[in-house]
Amino acid sequence: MNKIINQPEQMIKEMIEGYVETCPDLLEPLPDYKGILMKQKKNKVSIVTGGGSGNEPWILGYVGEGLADGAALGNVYIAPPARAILNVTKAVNHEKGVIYICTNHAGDVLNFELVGELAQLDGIDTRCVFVADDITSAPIEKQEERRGVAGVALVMKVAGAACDAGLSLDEAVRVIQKANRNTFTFSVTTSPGYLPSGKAMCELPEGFIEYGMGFNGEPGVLRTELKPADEIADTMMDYLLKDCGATAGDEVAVMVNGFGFTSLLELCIVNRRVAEILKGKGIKVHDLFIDSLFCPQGTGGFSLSILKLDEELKRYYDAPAYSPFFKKYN
Amino acid sequence: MNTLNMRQLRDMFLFVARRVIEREDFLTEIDLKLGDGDHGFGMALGFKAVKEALEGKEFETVENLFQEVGMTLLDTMGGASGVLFGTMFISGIVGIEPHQKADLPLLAGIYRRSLEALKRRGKAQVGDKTMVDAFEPAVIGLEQAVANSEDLPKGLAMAAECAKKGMMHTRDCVAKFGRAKSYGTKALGLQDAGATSVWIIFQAMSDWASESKESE
Repeated sequence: MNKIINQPEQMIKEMIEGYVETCPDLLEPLPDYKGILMKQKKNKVSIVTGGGSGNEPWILGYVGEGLADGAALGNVYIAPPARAILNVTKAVNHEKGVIYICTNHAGDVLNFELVGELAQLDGIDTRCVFVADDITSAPIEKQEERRGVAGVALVMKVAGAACDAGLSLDEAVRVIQKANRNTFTFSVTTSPGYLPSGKAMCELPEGFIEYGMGFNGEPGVLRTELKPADEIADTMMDYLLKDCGATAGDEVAVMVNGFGFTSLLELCIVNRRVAEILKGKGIKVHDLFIDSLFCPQGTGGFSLSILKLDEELKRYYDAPAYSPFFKKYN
Repeated sequence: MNTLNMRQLRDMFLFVARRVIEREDFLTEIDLKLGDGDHGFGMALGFKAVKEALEGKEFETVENLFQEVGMTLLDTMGGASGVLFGTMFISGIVGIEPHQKADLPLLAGIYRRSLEALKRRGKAQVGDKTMVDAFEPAVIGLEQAVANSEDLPKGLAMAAECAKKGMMHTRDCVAKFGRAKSYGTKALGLQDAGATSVWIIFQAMSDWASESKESE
């Protein structure tokens, strides 16, 4: 696979610099470390996110209006260094406290928890929310052990709105955790993505697809021959609805998230079937949208994320969010 | 000798830093058998920076000194081991009042809180073939010394002895984490490099305290 970079060791820094040039009034780079900040330092509880690069627009694009206030980026699939997270924490408005939102992966959890303590030594109050939405990585009884994947987009949207609404640190964390516990994601991979080195991230023979594969190629839960779009959507919705327990009368927001290689033509066909299934079951669709907000290096395939809503979550979910890579208006 | 003033505490950690740097090859040899072989280099790199950060410097409080050691390790070692060894020195001082002197109960308390943070964060228990296998016994050794009202050198000696036993015990364990995990039962008979580093740290503290006591 041909990749367009300069030096590998410079690519994340150069990505940030190039991205910020698209919106210099909205964002600024973090000095000395790989990170990105909102220019405006709003007087509210701030959200700091971060993680390994490689799933853009995840992380980079999640700093914006109604989203996070700052982010620390690691190299591709490597957790950001603690010092970078700490510097982002100090650079955002931290008077009312800071909420760390990252996906539930060992390296990120280690760093964010420790940085929370370091921030406390500097008198900054912090809380952590580890997004755990991948239903294939642990059973529902151990929901908090699940990996975090594309559902972080839905959680972040609720989180950004909750903090913008002026909630206190603990109230905002309660709302964000509620969104986290009500977010469920299931994926199918149809072809491997390629790392910046050009190396394939997994092995998947032509004509086969795999459900529930991790974005670094960790084995999934089911490998089958390629099937028609409707059958794939049926399989995925079956897993998801069983796991999240949504039934007639429940209200949901659903995201069809393309991994980068799969076309909008295909994703719309999937979305058609997803809408049919939800209607057929009598589940109320508050929102159903197609986007690419979590793309593991141009992998083929997509994920479906369901956020089960109540009145409180709906209020925050409906608030607008904007960054050049994450635009959501209802 | 029951309390360490700030200068003594700094000297003790300088002694620890020199000892870790000296043992780089030994750690590399151990880690090559089960891991990437980079543990010795990482530890030496971290403690060379600690040596630089402490040499000729005055610290106001015990907590400032621990924070400096922890932050230096975190920044220079990087990756998971930077966080884990950073945790060993940082997590125990969060939320406590500053102290100008260190005694055995204070050290036992700091390391107990660090240990609990490390176990929670790394999701490791005794028997998983990690640094916890040496760290937990060392903390228990310190706590027993406190309970028996032992003096500081004796308490650190007990911690070092317990850490060593824990480190030797990792030879009988199958790894649950990292590259060593893929070795399964083939890892039996080989000790964990992280646990070895923890033992080196406590042994160095103990050796420094015994030598200082003799020269008093």
